Amino acid sequence: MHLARAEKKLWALMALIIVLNAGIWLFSRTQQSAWPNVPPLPSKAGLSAGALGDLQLTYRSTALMLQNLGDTGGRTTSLQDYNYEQLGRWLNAAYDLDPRSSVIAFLAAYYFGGVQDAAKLPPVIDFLERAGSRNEGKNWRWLAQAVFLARYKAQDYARALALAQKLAAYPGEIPIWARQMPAMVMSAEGDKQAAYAIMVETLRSQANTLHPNEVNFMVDYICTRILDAAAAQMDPICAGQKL
Amino acid sequence: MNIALIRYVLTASIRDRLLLSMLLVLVLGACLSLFLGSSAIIEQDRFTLVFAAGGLRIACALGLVLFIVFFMRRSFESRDVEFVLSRPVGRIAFVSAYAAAFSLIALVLAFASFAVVYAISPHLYSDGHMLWAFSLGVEYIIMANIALFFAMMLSSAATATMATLGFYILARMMGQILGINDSTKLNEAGFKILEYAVEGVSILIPRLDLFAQTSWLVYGAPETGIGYGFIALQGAFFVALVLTGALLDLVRREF
Repeated sequence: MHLARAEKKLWALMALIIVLNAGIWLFSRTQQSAWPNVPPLPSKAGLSAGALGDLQLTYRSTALMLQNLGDTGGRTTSLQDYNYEQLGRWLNAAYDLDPRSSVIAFLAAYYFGGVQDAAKLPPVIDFLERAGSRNEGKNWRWLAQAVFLARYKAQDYARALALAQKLAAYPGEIPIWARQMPAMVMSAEGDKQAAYAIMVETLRSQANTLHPNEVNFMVDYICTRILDAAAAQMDPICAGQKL
Repeated sequence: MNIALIRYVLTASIRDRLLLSMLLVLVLGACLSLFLGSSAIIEQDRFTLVFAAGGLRIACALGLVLFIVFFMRRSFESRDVEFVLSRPVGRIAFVSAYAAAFSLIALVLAFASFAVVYAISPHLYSDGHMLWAFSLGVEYIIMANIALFFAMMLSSAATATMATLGFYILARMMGQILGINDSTKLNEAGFKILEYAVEGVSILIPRLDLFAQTSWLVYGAPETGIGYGFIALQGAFFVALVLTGALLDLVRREF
Protein backbone atom coordinates (compact mmCIF):
# COMPACT_ATOMS: atom_id res chain seq x y z
CA MET A 1 0.00 0.00 0.00
CA HIS A 2 2.80 2.31 1.07
CA LEU A 3 4.83 1.42 -2.04
CA ALA A 4 1.84 1.93 -4.33
CA ARG A 5 1.38 5.46 -2.92
CA ALA A 6 5.10 6.17 -3.38
CA GLU A 7 4.89 4.94 -6.97
CA LYS A 8 1.96 7.29 -7.70
CA LYS A 9 3.96 10.21 -6.29
CA LEU A 10 6.96 9.25 -8.42
CA TRP A 11 4.80 9.14 -11.56
CA ALA A 12 3.42 12.57 -10.69
CA LEU A 13 6.97 13.86 -10.09
CA MET A 14 8.10 12.44 -13.41
CA ALA A 15 5.20 14.14 -15.21
CA LEU A 16 6.13 17.44 -13.56
CA ILE A 17 9.80 17.02 -14.58
CA ILE A 18 8.75 16.29 -18.18
CA VAL A 19 6.69 19.50 -18.18
CA LEU A 20 9.67 21.44 -16.80
CA ASN A 21 11.89 19.93 -19.53
CA ALA A 22 9.35 21.00 -22.13
CA GLY A 23 9.51 24.50 -20.65
CA ILE A 24 13.28 24.54 -21.10
CA TRP A 25 12.85 23.15 -24.61
CA LEU A 26 10.53 26.06 -25.53
CA PHE A 27 13.50 28.36 -24.91
CA SER A 28 16.33 26.20 -26.30
CA ARG A 29 14.47 25.09 -29.47
CA THR A 30 14.80 28.52 -31.04
CA GLN A 31 18.45 28.99 -30.08
CA GLN A 32 20.89 28.44 -32.95
CA SER A 33 24.66 28.62 -32.79
CA ALA A 34 25.75 31.96 -34.20
CA TRP A 35 28.55 32.06 -36.77
CA PRO A 36 31.30 34.34 -35.48
CA ASN A 37 32.71 34.71 -39.04
CA VAL A 38 36.01 33.19 -40.20
CA PRO A 39 37.77 32.17 -36.96
CA PRO A 40 41.26 33.38 -36.05
CA LEU A 41 44.01 31.10 -37.33
CA PRO A 42 45.64 28.93 -34.65
CA SER A 43 49.34 27.98 -34.71
CA LYS A 44 50.40 24.98 -36.81
CA ALA A 45 50.71 22.87 -33.65
CA GLY A 46 47.26 23.97 -32.53
CA LEU A 47 45.82 23.25 -35.96
CA SER A 48 47.24 19.74 -36.09
CA ALA A 49 46.25 18.90 -32.50
CA GLY A 50 42.72 18.03 -33.64
CA ALA A 51 44.13 15.29 -35.88
CA LEU A 52 46.68 14.20 -33.25
CA GLY A 53 49.64 15.44 -35.26
CA ASP A 54 48.67 13.83 -38.59
CA LEU A 55 49.36 16.69 -41.02
CA GLN A 56 47.59 15.19 -44.05
CA LEU A 57 44.48 14.55 -41.95
CA THR A 58 44.77 18.13 -40.64
CA TYR A 59 45.00 19.39 -44.23
CA ARG A 60 41.92 17.47 -45.41
CA SER A 61 39.88 18.42 -42.32
CA THR A 62 40.85 22.08 -42.73
CA ALA A 63 39.97 22.01 -46.44
CA LEU A 64 36.54 20.55 -45.71
CA MET A 65 36.06 23.08 -42.90
CA LEU A 66 36.92 25.96 -45.25
CA GLN A 67 34.62 24.58 -47.95
CA ASN A 68 31.65 24.51 -45.54
CA LEU A 69 32.72 27.48 -43.42
CA GLY A 70 29.57 29.58 -43.11
CA ASP A 71 27.14 26.96 -44.34
CA THR A 72 26.62 24.49 -41.53
CA GLY A 73 23.70 23.62 -39.25
CA GLY A 74 21.08 24.70 -41.78
CA ARG A 75 22.62 28.17 -42.07
CA THR A 76 23.91 29.80 -45.25
CA THR A 77 26.19 32.83 -45.34
CA SER A 78 26.91 35.05 -48.29
CA LEU A 79 30.59 35.16 -49.28
CA GLN A 80 30.53 38.95 -49.01
CA ASP A 81 29.93 38.58 -45.26
CA TYR A 82 33.14 36.55 -44.80
CA ASN A 83 36.22 38.13 -43.28
CA TYR A 84 38.54 37.71 -46.28
CA GLU A 85 41.63 38.89 -44.41
CA GLN A 86 41.27 35.98 -41.98
CA LEU A 87 40.31 33.69 -44.84
CA GLY A 88 43.56 34.54 -46.63
CA ARG A 89 45.52 33.44 -43.55
CA TRP A 90 43.60 30.15 -43.45
CA LEU A 91 44.22 29.53 -47.17
CA ASN A 92 47.95 30.03 -46.71
CA ALA A 93 48.12 27.89 -43.57
CA ALA A 94 46.22 25.04 -45.21
CA TYR A 95 48.37 25.33 -48.34
CA ASP A 96 51.52 25.01 -46.20
CA LEU A 97 50.24 21.65 -44.92
CA ASP A 98 50.12 20.15 -48.42
CA PRO A 99 51.28 22.31 -51.35
CA ARG A 100 50.91 19.37 -53.76
CA SER A 101 47.13 19.11 -53.50
CA SER A 102 44.86 21.35 -55.62
CA VAL A 103 41.93 21.56 -53.19
CA ILE A 104 42.77 24.83 -51.45
CA ALA A 105 43.78 26.66 -54.64
CA PHE A 106 40.62 25.34 -56.30
CA LEU A 107 38.47 26.66 -53.45
CA ALA A 108 40.23 30.03 -53.61
CA ALA A 109 39.92 30.35 -57.39
CA TYR A 110 36.42 29.10 -58.09
CA TYR A 111 34.60 29.40 -54.79
CA PHE A 112 35.97 32.25 -52.68
CA GLY A 113 36.95 34.08 -55.88
CA GLY A 114 33.24 34.29 -56.69
CA VAL A 115 32.58 36.90 -54.00
CA GLN A 116 30.34 39.74 -55.23
CA ASP A 117 32.32 42.42 -53.40
CA ALA A 118 35.50 42.82 -55.46
CA ALA A 119 37.16 44.81 -52.66
CA LYS A 120 37.47 41.57 -50.72
CA LEU A 121 39.49 39.81 -53.42
CA PRO A 122 43.12 40.88 -52.72
CA PRO A 123 43.85 38.12 -50.14
CA VAL A 124 42.51 35.51 -52.58
CA ILE A 125 44.54 36.98 -55.46
CA ASP A 126 47.68 37.03 -53.26
CA PHE A 127 47.11 33.41 -52.32
CA LEU A 128 46.54 32.32 -55.93
CA GLU A 129 49.75 34.08 -56.92
CA ARG A 130 51.57 32.03 -54.29
CA ALA A 131 49.93 28.74 -55.31
CA GLY A 132 50.48 29.50 -59.01
CA SER A 133 54.15 30.33 -58.54
CA ARG A 134 54.95 26.78 -57.46
CA ASN A 135 56.60 25.37 -60.56
CA GLU A 136 55.05 21.91 -60.63
CA GLY A 137 52.36 20.28 -62.73
CA LYS A 138 49.58 22.60 -63.86
CA ASN A 139 49.92 25.08 -60.99
CA TRP A 140 50.38 27.94 -63.44
CA ARG A 141 46.61 27.90 -63.94
CA TRP A 142 46.16 29.43 -60.47
CA LEU A 143 48.33 32.33 -61.60
CA ALA A 144 46.11 32.68 -64.68
CA GLN A 145 43.07 32.70 -62.43
CA ALA A 146 44.73 35.37 -60.26
CA VAL A 147 45.19 37.51 -63.39
CA PHE A 148 41.56 36.99 -64.30
CA LEU A 149 40.30 37.99 -60.83
CA ALA A 150 42.59 41.04 -60.65
CA ARG A 151 41.77 42.22 -64.18
CA TYR A 152 38.09 41.44 -64.64
CA LYS A 153 36.70 41.41 -61.11
CA ALA A 154 38.90 43.61 -58.94
CA GLN A 155 39.64 45.91 -61.93
CA ASP A 156 43.14 46.34 -60.56
CA TYR A 157 45.01 46.67 -63.85
CA ALA A 158 48.47 47.26 -62.36
CA ARG A 159 48.20 44.14 -60.21
CA ALA A 160 46.79 42.14 -63.12
CA LEU A 161 49.63 43.21 -65.39
CA ALA A 162 52.26 42.30 -62.78
CA LEU A 163 50.67 38.87 -62.37
CA ALA A 164 50.36 38.41 -66.14
CA GLN A 165 54.06 39.21 -66.56
CA LYS A 166 54.88 36.68 -63.87
CA LEU A 167 52.76 34.11 -65.71
CA ALA A 168 54.39 34.93 -69.05
CA ALA A 169 57.81 34.33 -67.46
CA TYR A 170 56.72 31.02 -65.91
CA PRO A 171 59.68 28.62 -66.20
CA GLY A 172 57.67 25.49 -67.00
CA GLU A 173 55.74 24.50 -70.10
CA ILE A 174 52.54 26.52 -70.44
CA PRO A 175 50.12 27.21 -73.34
CA ILE A 176 50.83 30.03 -75.72
CA TRP A 177 47.80 32.06 -74.59
CA ALA A 178 49.18 32.13 -71.05
CA ARG A 179 52.44 33.59 -72.37
CA GLN A 180 50.34 36.23 -74.17
CA MET A 181 48.47 37.18 -71.02
CA PRO A 182 50.18 40.61 -70.56
CA ALA A 183 48.89 41.60 -74.01
CA MET A 184 45.38 40.47 -73.11
CA VAL A 185 45.43 42.49 -69.91
CA MET A 186 46.61 45.55 -71.70
CA SER A 187 44.21 45.19 -74.66
CA ALA A 188 41.29 47.57 -74.91
CA GLU A 189 38.97 44.76 -75.98
CA GLY A 190 35.71 44.19 -74.12
CA ASP A 191 36.28 42.50 -70.76
CA LYS A 192 33.80 39.72 -71.38
CA GLN A 193 35.30 38.64 -74.69
CA ALA A 194 38.81 38.45 -73.24
CA ALA A 195 37.67 36.56 -70.16
CA TYR A 196 35.66 34.22 -72.40
CA ALA A 197 38.68 33.62 -74.61
CA ILE A 198 40.90 32.76 -71.61
CA MET A 199 38.44 30.30 -70.12
CA VAL A 200 37.57 28.61 -73.43
CA GLU A 201 41.24 28.29 -74.31
CA THR A 202 41.95 26.75 -70.90
CA LEU A 203 39.17 24.24 -71.47
CA ARG A 204 40.31 23.48 -75.01
CA SER A 205 43.91 22.85 -74.05
CA GLN A 206 43.48 21.29 -70.59
CA ALA A 207 40.01 19.72 -70.29
CA ASN A 208 41.20 16.16 -70.85
CA THR A 209 43.78 16.40 -68.05
CA LEU A 210 41.69 18.29 -65.45
CA HIS A 211 39.39 16.78 -62.82
CA PRO A 212 35.80 16.51 -64.22
CA ASN A 213 34.50 18.70 -61.36
CA GLU A 214 36.97 21.40 -62.30
CA VAL A 215 35.84 21.27 -65.95
CA ASN A 216 32.20 21.47 -64.83
CA PHE A 217 32.97 24.49 -62.67
CA MET A 218 34.70 26.25 -65.56
CA VAL A 219 31.82 25.55 -67.96
CA ASP A 220 29.39 26.84 -65.35
CA TYR A 221 31.56 29.92 -64.84
CA ILE A 222 31.50 30.66 -68.59
CA CYS A 223 27.77 30.09 -68.95
CA THR A 224 26.50 31.87 -65.84
CA ARG A 225 29.14 34.48 -65.00
CA ILE A 226 30.86 35.52 -68.20
CA LEU A 227 28.05 35.15 -70.74
CA ASP A 228 24.63 36.67 -70.33
CA ALA A 229 21.59 34.40 -70.68
CA ALA A 230 21.05 35.15 -74.37
CA ALA A 231 24.70 34.59 -75.30
CA ALA A 232 24.85 31.41 -73.21
CA GLN A 233 21.87 29.94 -75.05
CA MET A 234 23.62 30.48 -78.38
CA ASP A 235 26.96 29.07 -77.20
CA PRO A 236 27.56 25.35 -77.87
CA ILE A 237 29.70 25.08 -74.69
CA CYS A 238 26.59 25.83 -72.65
CA ALA A 239 24.42 23.20 -74.36
CA GLY A 240 22.84 21.08 -71.64
CA GLN A 241 23.80 23.58 -68.91
CA LYS A 242 21.14 24.76 -66.46
CA LEU A 243 21.06 28.50 -67.21
CA MET B 1 56.42 -19.05 -24.74
CA ASN B 2 53.28 -20.49 -23.19
CA ILE B 3 50.96 -21.27 -26.12
CA ALA B 4 48.04 -22.21 -23.86
CA LEU B 5 48.11 -18.75 -22.21
CA ILE B 6 48.22 -17.03 -25.60
CA ARG B 7 45.21 -19.06 -26.74
CA TYR B 8 43.43 -18.19 -23.48
CA VAL B 9 43.83 -14.44 -24.12
CA LEU B 10 42.85 -14.76 -27.79
CA THR B 11 39.75 -16.74 -26.79
CA ALA B 12 38.90 -14.01 -24.27
CA SER B 13 39.09 -11.38 -27.02
CA ILE B 14 36.57 -13.36 -29.07
CA ARG B 15 34.37 -14.03 -26.03
CA ASP B 16 34.38 -10.31 -25.12
CA ARG B 17 33.28 -9.60 -28.71
CA LEU B 18 36.30 -7.34 -29.29
CA LEU B 19 36.76 -8.46 -32.88
CA LEU B 20 33.06 -8.24 -33.64
CA SER B 21 32.73 -4.74 -32.20
CA MET B 22 35.90 -3.60 -33.98
CA LEU B 23 34.49 -4.96 -37.24
CA LEU B 24 31.42 -2.80 -36.63
CA VAL B 25 33.65 0.22 -35.91
CA LEU B 26 35.57 -0.40 -39.15
CA VAL B 27 32.39 -0.59 -41.24
CA LEU B 28 30.85 2.49 -39.59
CA GLY B 29 34.15 4.40 -39.87
CA ALA B 30 34.44 3.54 -43.56
CA CYS B 31 30.83 4.65 -44.19
CA LEU B 32 31.35 7.94 -42.34
CA SER B 33 34.58 8.57 -44.28
CA LEU B 34 32.80 7.90 -47.58
CA PHE B 35 30.09 10.35 -46.58
CA LEU B 36 32.54 13.08 -45.52
CA GLY B 37 34.88 12.48 -48.46
CA SER B 38 32.04 12.64 -50.97
CA SER B 39 31.13 16.11 -49.78
CA ALA B 40 34.56 17.49 -50.78
CA ILE B 41 34.54 19.71 -53.85
CA ILE B 42 37.37 17.82 -55.62
CA GLU B 43 39.76 14.94 -54.80
CA GLN B 44 36.90 13.04 -53.08
CA ASP B 45 38.77 9.73 -53.22
CA ARG B 46 41.77 11.22 -51.40
CA PHE B 47 39.58 12.86 -48.78
CA THR B 48 37.81 9.54 -48.15
CA LEU B 49 41.09 7.67 -47.94
CA VAL B 50 42.66 10.11 -45.48
CA PHE B 51 39.56 10.37 -43.29
CA ALA B 52 39.20 6.57 -43.16
CA ALA B 53 42.87 5.96 -42.42
CA GLY B 54 43.15 8.72 -39.80
CA GLY B 55 39.84 7.93 -38.13
CA LEU B 56 40.19 4.15 -38.03
CA ARG B 57 43.74 4.49 -36.72
CA ILE B 58 42.44 6.25 -33.60
CA ALA B 59 39.26 4.15 -33.27
CA CYS B 60 41.11 0.81 -33.36
CA ALA B 61 43.77 2.06 -30.93
CA LEU B 62 40.99 3.06 -28.54
CA GLY B 63 39.26 -0.34 -28.83
CA LEU B 64 42.54 -2.19 -28.31
CA VAL B 65 43.47 -0.16 -25.20
CA LEU B 66 40.02 -0.51 -23.63
CA PHE B 67 39.99 -4.27 -24.14
CA ILE B 68 43.49 -4.83 -22.76
CA VAL B 69 43.12 -2.59 -19.71
CA PHE B 70 39.72 -3.93 -18.67
CA PHE B 71 40.69 -7.54 -19.39
CA MET B 72 43.86 -7.21 -17.29
CA ARG B 73 42.12 -5.46 -14.37
CA ARG B 74 39.35 -8.09 -14.42
CA SER B 75 42.00 -10.83 -14.42
CA PHE B 76 43.63 -9.33 -11.32
CA GLU B 77 40.35 -8.65 -9.51
CA SER B 78 38.86 -12.09 -10.18
CA ARG B 79 42.21 -13.62 -9.10
CA ASP B 80 42.75 -15.23 -12.53
CA VAL B 81 46.35 -14.00 -12.45
CA GLU B 82 47.00 -15.64 -9.08
CA PHE B 83 45.42 -18.85 -10.34
CA VAL B 84 47.60 -18.88 -13.46
CA LEU B 85 50.73 -18.11 -11.44
CA SER B 86 49.89 -20.98 -9.04
CA ARG B 87 50.37 -23.32 -12.00
CA PRO B 88 53.86 -24.12 -13.31
CA VAL B 89 54.08 -20.84 -15.18
CA GLY B 90 56.87 -18.40 -14.39
CA ARG B 91 56.22 -14.69 -14.10
CA ILE B 92 58.39 -13.95 -17.15
CA ALA B 93 56.48 -16.53 -19.19
CA PHE B 94 53.20 -15.04 -17.98
CA VAL B 95 54.05 -11.48 -19.09
CA SER B 96 55.60 -12.70 -22.36
CA ALA B 97 52.54 -14.78 -23.23
CA TYR B 98 50.11 -11.94 -22.48
CA ALA B 99 52.26 -9.45 -24.42
CA ALA B 100 52.47 -11.85 -27.39
CA ALA B 101 48.71 -12.42 -27.37
CA PHE B 102 47.91 -8.70 -27.18
CA SER B 103 50.45 -8.02 -29.94
CA LEU B 104 48.76 -10.61 -32.13
CA ILE B 105 45.40 -8.90 -31.58
CA ALA B 106 47.08 -5.57 -32.41
CA LEU B 107 48.34 -7.02 -35.70
CA VAL B 108 44.88 -8.36 -36.56
CA LEU B 109 43.36 -4.90 -36.01
CA ALA B 110 46.11 -3.24 -38.06
CA PHE B 111 45.54 -5.67 -40.91
CA ALA B 112 41.76 -5.15 -40.75
CA SER B 113 42.27 -1.35 -40.89
CA PHE B 114 44.61 -1.75 -43.85
CA ALA B 115 42.09 -3.99 -45.65
CA VAL B 116 39.35 -1.36 -45.20
CA VAL B 117 41.62 1.49 -46.30
CA TYR B 118 42.69 -0.50 -49.37
CA ALA B 119 39.10 -1.46 -50.22
CA ILE B 120 37.98 2.19 -50.08
CA SER B 121 40.35 3.39 -52.81
CA PRO B 122 42.17 0.44 -54.45
CA HIS B 123 43.14 2.64 -57.41
CA LEU B 124 45.29 4.81 -55.11
CA TYR B 125 47.37 1.84 -53.90
CA SER B 126 51.12 2.54 -53.76
CA ASP B 127 54.22 1.47 -51.82
CA GLY B 128 53.07 3.98 -49.19
CA HIS B 129 50.18 1.66 -48.28
CA MET B 130 52.56 -1.10 -47.22
CA LEU B 131 54.67 1.27 -45.13
CA TRP B 132 51.49 2.69 -43.57
CA ALA B 133 50.18 -0.80 -42.71
CA PHE B 134 53.53 -1.91 -41.30
CA SER B 135 53.92 1.17 -39.11
CA LEU B 136 50.29 0.89 -37.98
CA GLY B 137 50.99 -2.68 -36.88
CA VAL B 138 54.05 -1.56 -34.91
CA GLU B 139 52.09 1.38 -33.41
CA TYR B 140 49.34 -0.97 -32.21
CA ILE B 141 51.91 -3.38 -30.76
CA ILE B 142 53.42 -0.46 -28.83
CA MET B 143 49.96 0.60 -27.63
CA ALA B 144 49.03 -2.97 -26.65
CA ASN B 145 52.17 -3.31 -24.55
CA ILE B 146 51.86 0.11 -22.94
CA ALA B 147 48.22 -0.72 -22.07
CA LEU B 148 49.44 -3.98 -20.51
CA PHE B 149 52.09 -2.05 -18.58
CA PHE B 150 49.67 0.54 -17.16
CA ALA B 151 47.01 -2.09 -16.41
CA MET B 152 49.57 -3.98 -14.30
CA MET B 153 50.99 -0.90 -12.61
CA LEU B 154 47.76 0.94 -11.78
CA SER B 155 45.01 -0.65 -9.76
CA SER B 156 42.09 1.22 -11.33
CA ALA B 157 40.91 0.41 -14.86
CA ALA B 158 39.77 4.00 -15.43
CA THR B 159 43.15 5.42 -14.33
CA ALA B 160 45.07 2.92 -16.47
CA THR B 161 42.92 3.77 -19.51
CA MET B 162 43.42 7.50 -19.00
CA ALA B 163 47.17 7.01 -18.55
CA THR B 164 47.43 4.92 -21.73
CA LEU B 165 45.38 7.38 -23.80
CA GLY B 166 47.36 10.29 -22.34
CA PHE B 167 50.52 8.50 -23.44
CA TYR B 168 49.04 8.00 -26.93
CA ILE B 169 48.17 11.69 -27.32
CA LEU B 170 51.62 12.70 -26.05
CA ALA B 171 53.35 10.27 -28.44
CA ARG B 172 51.24 11.48 -31.38
CA MET B 173 51.91 15.15 -30.54
CA MET B 174 55.58 14.77 -29.61
CA GLY B 175 56.83 16.09 -32.98
CA GLN B 176 54.80 19.28 -32.58
CA ILE B 177 55.86 19.69 -28.95
CA LEU B 178 59.53 19.33 -29.85
CA GLY B 179 58.99 21.79 -32.71
CA ILE B 180 57.66 24.35 -30.23
CA ASN B 181 60.59 23.57 -27.95
CA ASP B 182 63.08 24.18 -30.77
CA SER B 183 61.46 27.40 -31.95
CA THR B 184 61.17 28.97 -28.49
CA LYS B 185 64.61 29.98 -27.37
CA LEU B 186 63.97 31.97 -24.23
CA ASN B 187 66.93 32.26 -21.91
CA GLU B 188 64.95 32.60 -18.70
CA ALA B 189 65.74 29.90 -16.15
CA GLY B 190 62.12 28.73 -15.84
CA PHE B 191 61.80 28.16 -19.58
CA LYS B 192 65.19 26.42 -19.74
CA ILE B 193 64.04 23.92 -17.10
CA LEU B 194 60.83 23.30 -19.10
CA GLU B 195 62.86 22.84 -22.29
CA TYR B 196 65.10 20.25 -20.65
CA ALA B 197 62.09 18.53 -19.09
CA VAL B 198 60.41 18.21 -22.52
CA GLU B 199 63.66 16.92 -24.06
CA GLY B 200 63.97 14.38 -21.24
CA VAL B 201 60.40 13.15 -21.62
CA SER B 202 60.82 12.87 -25.41
CA ILE B 203 63.67 10.36 -24.93
CA LEU B 204 61.21 7.90 -23.40
CA ILE B 205 58.24 8.58 -25.66
CA PRO B 206 58.11 6.90 -29.08
CA ARG B 207 57.51 9.28 -32.01
CA LEU B 208 54.11 7.96 -33.08
CA ASP B 209 53.59 11.12 -35.14
CA LEU B 210 56.16 9.67 -37.55
CA PHE B 211 54.19 6.42 -37.84
CA ALA B 212 51.23 5.64 -40.16
CA GLN B 213 51.25 9.04 -41.87
CA THR B 214 48.21 9.42 -44.11
CA SER B 215 50.29 11.45 -46.58
CA TRP B 216 52.01 8.15 -47.51
CA LEU B 217 48.65 6.83 -48.72
CA VAL B 218 48.18 9.86 -50.98
CA TYR B 219 51.72 10.48 -52.23
CA GLY B 220 53.50 7.16 -51.64
CA ALA B 221 56.33 6.23 -49.27
CA PRO B 222 58.95 8.92 -48.65
CA GLU B 223 62.23 8.46 -50.52
CA THR B 224 64.29 9.49 -47.52
CA GLY B 225 63.71 9.70 -43.78
CA ILE B 226 61.17 7.36 -42.17
CA GLY B 227 61.36 3.77 -43.37
CA TYR B 228 60.87 0.18 -42.24
CA GLY B 229 64.15 0.12 -40.30
CA PHE B 230 63.38 3.11 -38.07
CA ILE B 231 59.83 1.89 -37.37
CA ALA B 232 60.95 -1.66 -36.52
CA LEU B 233 63.77 -0.44 -34.23
CA GLN B 234 61.58 2.15 -32.48
CA GLY B 235 58.93 -0.53 -31.89
CA ALA B 236 61.38 -3.18 -30.69
CA PHE B 237 63.24 -0.87 -28.28
CA PHE B 238 60.11 0.64 -26.79
CA VAL B 239 58.25 -2.66 -26.39
CA ALA B 240 61.35 -4.10 -24.68
CA LEU B 241 61.37 -1.11 -22.31
CA VAL B 242 57.72 -1.37 -21.24
CA LEU B 243 57.81 -5.15 -20.96
CA THR B 244 60.84 -4.92 -18.69
CA GLY B 245 58.91 -2.38 -16.59
CA ALA B 246 55.85 -4.63 -16.44
CA LEU B 247 58.03 -7.59 -15.48
CA LEU B 248 59.73 -5.61 -12.72
CA ASP B 249 56.33 -4.72 -11.34
CA LEU B 250 55.14 -8.33 -11.41
CA VAL B 251 58.36 -9.71 -9.94
CA ARG B 252 58.19 -7.28 -7.00
CA ARG B 253 54.48 -7.87 -6.41
CA GLU B 254 53.40 -10.08 -3.51
CA PHE B 255 50.18 -12.05 -3.92
